[in-house]
Order: sequence, then C-alpha cells, then structure tokens
Amino acid sequence: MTSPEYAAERWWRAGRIVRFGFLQYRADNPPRIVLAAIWPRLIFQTVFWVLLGFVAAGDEGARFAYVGAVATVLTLGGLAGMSDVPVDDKYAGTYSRLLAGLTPPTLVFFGRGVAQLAMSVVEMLVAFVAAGLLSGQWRTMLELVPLLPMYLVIALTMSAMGLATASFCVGKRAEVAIYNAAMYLVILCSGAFIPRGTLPVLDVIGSVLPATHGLLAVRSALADEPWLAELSLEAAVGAGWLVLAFYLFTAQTARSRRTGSDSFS
Amino acid sequence: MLVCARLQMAEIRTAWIIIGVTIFQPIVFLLVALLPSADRSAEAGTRVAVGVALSVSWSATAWGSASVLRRERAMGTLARALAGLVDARLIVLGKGLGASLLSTVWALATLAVTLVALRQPVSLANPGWLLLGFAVLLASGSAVGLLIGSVFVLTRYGPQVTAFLTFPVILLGGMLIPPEILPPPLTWVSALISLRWLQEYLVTSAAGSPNLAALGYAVVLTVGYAAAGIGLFGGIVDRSRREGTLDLT
Amino acid sequence: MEHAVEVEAVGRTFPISGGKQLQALEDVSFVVGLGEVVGLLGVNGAGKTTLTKILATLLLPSSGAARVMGYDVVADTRGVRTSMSVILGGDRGLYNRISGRENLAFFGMLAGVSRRDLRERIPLMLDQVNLADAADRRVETYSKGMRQRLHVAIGLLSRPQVLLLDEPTVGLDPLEADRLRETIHQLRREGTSILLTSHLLLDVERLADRVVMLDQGRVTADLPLRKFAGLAGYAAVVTLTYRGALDLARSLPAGAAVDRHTHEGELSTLVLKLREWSGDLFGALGRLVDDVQIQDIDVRPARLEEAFATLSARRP
Repeated sequence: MTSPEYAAERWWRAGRIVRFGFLQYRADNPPRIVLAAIWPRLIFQTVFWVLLGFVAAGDEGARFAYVGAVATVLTLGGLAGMSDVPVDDKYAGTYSRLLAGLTPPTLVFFGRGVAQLAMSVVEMLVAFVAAGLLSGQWRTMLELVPLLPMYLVIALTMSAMGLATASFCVGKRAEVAIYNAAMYLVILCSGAFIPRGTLPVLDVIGSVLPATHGLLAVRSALADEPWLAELSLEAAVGAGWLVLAFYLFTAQTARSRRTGSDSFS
Repeated sequence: MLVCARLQMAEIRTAWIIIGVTIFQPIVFLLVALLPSADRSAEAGTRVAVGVALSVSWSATAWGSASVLRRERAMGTLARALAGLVDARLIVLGKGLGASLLSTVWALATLAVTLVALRQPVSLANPGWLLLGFAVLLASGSAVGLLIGSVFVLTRYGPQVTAFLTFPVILLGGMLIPPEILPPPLTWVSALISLRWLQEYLVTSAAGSPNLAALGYAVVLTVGYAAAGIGLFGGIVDRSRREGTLDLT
Repeated sequence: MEHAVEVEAVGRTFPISGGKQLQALEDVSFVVGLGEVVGLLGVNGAGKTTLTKILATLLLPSSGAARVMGYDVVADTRGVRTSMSVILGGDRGLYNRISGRENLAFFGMLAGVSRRDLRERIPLMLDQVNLADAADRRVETYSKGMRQRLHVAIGLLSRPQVLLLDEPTVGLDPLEADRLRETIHQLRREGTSILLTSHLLLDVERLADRVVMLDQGRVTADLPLRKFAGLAGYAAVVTLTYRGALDLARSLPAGAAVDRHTHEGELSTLVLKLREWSGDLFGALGRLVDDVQIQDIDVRPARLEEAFATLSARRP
C-alpha cells in the first residue's frame, strides 16, 4: 500500500469509528427521545437555574446564572454522555474485541466520543436559545452569540474530563455515582452560579475543572475586558484532562492484559 | 407493600444514581441558592432548606422508580412482578414508599451537615408538625412513584424520561422558585403539584404557625395521584398486554 | 515455519485472597500445525479460557512463551492480531442496539480489514452464516443462535490464518451446528489452522485432527483423535439383546469385560467393552452367543466422551 493510500485508509478507519459513535448515540437516544425528553429537560434545567439566580440575586443574578447555565448544559452530553462511551463496552462485553483489534481501544473511545461532543454542542445551542427566550434573557443571549466559540472550547474541555472520568469508572461498577459527582462538582465549583471569591475552596477546585476559566473569559468579554488569557487557561485545562484520559485508558488496557481483570466486560 | 418498600430500600442503597441525587444534589442546590443571596436569615435558610429537601425527595423518587424498574428489566424480574399473584400496583407503591423514605432521610442528613458547615441558621419551631408534613411527603412520593411506574413499564428510555420529568416539577413546584415569579398560566400548573403545598406547610410549621389548609391541599392531591396512578398503571398494563407493547427486556 | 501455534512451557498465576496464588496454567506446551485442527478439551476451570486469552493477546503469560504464525503473543501483538482471529461466542460481545451488519463492519474494521475487502466480504459473510435477511435488524432482536453466527462472521471476516474457536456451536440448533461445522471444514481445506475449545465433544470428534487435554492447568494428553479415544480404556462397545441363557463365567473371551447385564422378561441385554478390535476377539464373541437367539446386536467404537470421562476421573 502506498503512503497516500495508507493515509486514506487511516482516515477511513477514523471516519468509521466516529460514524459508529453516532450510530450508538442514535440507538441510545432515538430522535423522539431527544425531542420529547432530552432537549426539554435541558431547557427546563436552564430556565430553573436562571430563575434560581433571580431568586437569589435579582436581575443581575439571573443574567449571571444564564451565562453559567448554558455551560452547565454541557455537563450532560459532554461529561456524563462522554463517560458512557467506554461504559457501553463494559455492559455489552465488547471490550475484549476492542482489545484484540488493531486500533488501540483508547483511540476507539476518543473517536466514538466525537458524537457525544457534537451532540452536546447541539444540546447547548438548543438550551441557549430556548431557555434564553423563555426566561427573558434574550438580551444576554444576543450578547453571547459572538462568544459562542468560547463555549465550544468549554465543550471540548468538558468532553476531555468526561473521558478521563470514564476511565475512573470502568471496573468499579459505580460509573453513575462517579460522573454524577463530576457533574455536580463542575456545577458547583466552575463559577457557573456561585461567583468566584464567595467560597475560596470552590475556587481552588474549580481552577482545574472545565468551564471555570472559559466562563471567566465569557464574563470578561461581556464586560469588554481582556479574555484571551482565561480562554487559554480553559484550553490548557482541557488538554490536561485529555492527556490524563489518554494515560488512564492506556494504563487500563495494559493492566487488563497483565491481570486478566477485563475491567470493561 | 411494606415488604416491597424494604426491598426497594435495599435496592436503592446500591443504586448509585440515588446517591448522586440525595448527596450531591442537596449540597449543590443549597449552596447555589444560599451563597449568592444577601439574605442569610433563619427564615430564608429554612425556606431554602425545605425547598431543597422537597426537590431532592422528588428527584430521588423519580430516579428511584426509574432505576429499580430498569434494574428489574435487566434482571428479568419485571415480567415476574407483573405476572405475579400480588397486584403489581402494590409492588410499585411499596417501591415508591421505600425510595421516598430512604432518599428523604439521606437528603435531610446531607442538608443538616451542609447547613452546619455553612453555619446557616434555620428555624425548627414545631418538630411534630414537621414530621406530619414529611409523612405526607412519603405518601405523595409513593403515589407519584406509581404514576411514573406506569410510564416506565412502557419504555426502556427510563433515565431520559426521568431526567425530563424532574426539572419541570422542581421548576413549577414552588419549592425553590416561588410560584409568584412564574408566568400566570404556569402558576395554575404549580397549584396541582403537592410539593408546592408541602413547601408552604413545612415552612410555616418551621416558623411555628402551620398552614393546615396547605397540608389539606397536599393530602387531597396525594389521594388524587394515587387514584390516577392505580387507574393508569392497571390500564396501561392491561392495554399493553393486549397490544404486546410491554417493554420487559 | 512448521507450526501455526506454538505454546512453550506457558504458566499463568492469578492472585487470590490471603496473598495466595492460583495456578491457572502450569508448564503447558503443545503445537498446532499449519492447516491442522486441534481440539482443546478440559472440564470447567481446567485453564482453557486462560490459554485462549493468552493466545488472543488479551492476557500475558506469567512464564513461558507462545507464538502465533511465528509472532510472539507478548512482544508482537500486532503480528498476532493480524494473522489470527478469535471467536469467543456467547450472548455478549456485541452492541445490542446496533444492527448485525454495522457490528460486523465495525469489528471487521478494527481487525484491520481494508475498506474494499469490507465492502466485498460483508455480504459474503452474512450469506455464509445465513444472516443476510436479518443483517439490518438490531442485534437485540436476534436469537441466541443468530448471535453466535454473527460472532462467527466477525471472526471469519478478516480471513485469519489461525482461528481460535471457543464453544462455536453452543446455542445453535442441530442444523445450524452442522452448517457451522461444514464452514470450519471448508476453512480447514483452505489451510486455516484452528484451535477449537468445546464442551461439545461431538464438535471435536467431527472436526479435530488432534486433541490436547488440559486438567488443572496442565496438559494431560496430546494425541491424535483416534488414539485419544483409545484412552477410554477399551476400543469398542458391543451391545447384545438376546433370548436364552449365557454362561458368562465359563465362556467370556479374554479381552472382553461385562459393563452391564440386565434381564427383562425373556429378553436379556448384555453390554461388553472390548479392549481391542481383533478378529480373534470377535470370533470368540460369535462362539459365546452360539447357543442363544440374538434379537439385536450393536457394535460401536469407543467415544471421545468416554475417553474424556476416564481422563477426568483420573484426577489426583
């Protein structure tokens, strides 16, 4: 096989893996469930946070909460959903097949996770628009439109943490508790609803979590202040989680061969 | 029914989603509702704490019903429950009671610890009336569990449906969001949710002057949920048997 | 290269409670020749699955070495995975909410099948395992047998030189099982080397050239099929149904042993085990029954399960 053919074959393989991720997403979340349950849930959830912000701190609280709530939508698809990618193999008993394949399982998980990432961004956009209108935050919504790429960076960071979280889950049969803990940790410590400086311990934890720096960048941009440094920090946090995920999955794979624990099956 | 309640409590002790709901959720709700607020009085603290307790109890009841039915489907015991000699409605009612009881106890314990850690004062003027309110909450949770169970025997997408159900009720149920700030048509919906009246009753009880009318509304609504649940569950199971749409696997 | 699979003094231990070690495999050695079908037999817990996992590169051996088509299972996993396919079977190991065709395509792609091969071979494989009509249905709607056939299709898609088959006919009805056996015969004719693990001795009897028996992690027999069957301790079983009276104490030929002798009304049934096939012994048997009226006579060679039972019973 010539070099261009080899490269084309690799791209084709990557495409098949990504496509399979979409197939799995659709099988687990058929369109009627997405439209009738998942999207309405996210819209209600976002409206709830905005109103809670309003109850706690008036109009300014509602605006603050809306900016944060849009990012926390990503905890569902980006974090919890991403965690489900390898967990699917745990329940289907397919991990041994992945392990015996020529493509490393870590890359398979990353590739299949692309669907979760993409769908989490779609979910965020739906909640962004619908909850913005329903909760009367349309003015903030319009201000945020040019800043949506920043939310995209948050989506990437969230997904990277989701993958790393998943690698903690496998073999422990407690994935729901682990990714619930991760979700609530992000909601609590990222500054989505509780302004930074309120409780220092939350800020310390939040500094290594997704969304914290990204939301600071968004809020700075809304206030016409410099935002690039915070956005870069968000990307760095995401890269850190991605490297951790890669390392953990690779270590899991090696451990599985060494001990025969077959954590995923 | 009590056997089912005990069984359910044993089941959800190992259902991780319930741990997430009864431990993480109250902490997050409490902190998010209290910390940005300027009002840290005992009255505000009580209102928020009761609101969080009721919200968490509702979430846990919904998730409890969903995860146990999901587990029963996975273990292949759902078909047996529906085909047994004991009325399946009693089984589901019992399971709802178990889920409500355990999750309410856990949520209250988590709340107590968090409130102490935050040094947030709350009023507890009338423990007896409060206990009565929580008893009605358990009954309400069981009845709602039956209503939700009707949906779950039909679909394998229980988690998604549960997630969808939880936030509208938390949003409209007047626990953390006062019904007054909702648009007028939604206030009407809010009046049909027993948790809204329980919130009012529990907050006034904690302050020393229980609103018994609110408790009465909650009881009437609970009876209504139970009646609707009994009718709906039986109807859905019968119809599904006829049409072969029971999703048991 | 003479051998498709070489297993040299392979051992594997697992830590168990109390700081102890469980010896799952100990000093296991055998080979599978090119184009040969070897049956791997043993009771539950004998070490078959552990050995299969080691050869499939899913588990590292604690000691010894194993090679598949000359590739070391520890150092050169890519080479092993390219030349070998494993069919583990069972209800699990498939994505239930995805169609059979998509499962096949996904696992084929992971096994290194090229885009063009995948396009050509998927319809062929689906035909071969009789799943063409159900290919676009979700796997969760498949029967046990259909799932098993899909496992087989996944395993064969990459045209492996070596095939590890674990209980291939479990869950299949007799017709499907025969069809699969025919497929395996076909693979063998094409030169594929096969290591077959099965509790169904009929599979081994019909498919294998040679048998390797594992017991408590050790190889207790490695023999051609016919010789293995001889380990039963006898070569043939004769069942006689007759009327009349036999004087066994006086005329039972040497080399024959009574397994069972029953009477029901006028009819008697005598089951004899013969140590060897020989003209003299059968002649002596003929003389034995001269004085009785024969209703039925059945002679069959010793079966594999009888050898298996005998060997398994010899445990220390």
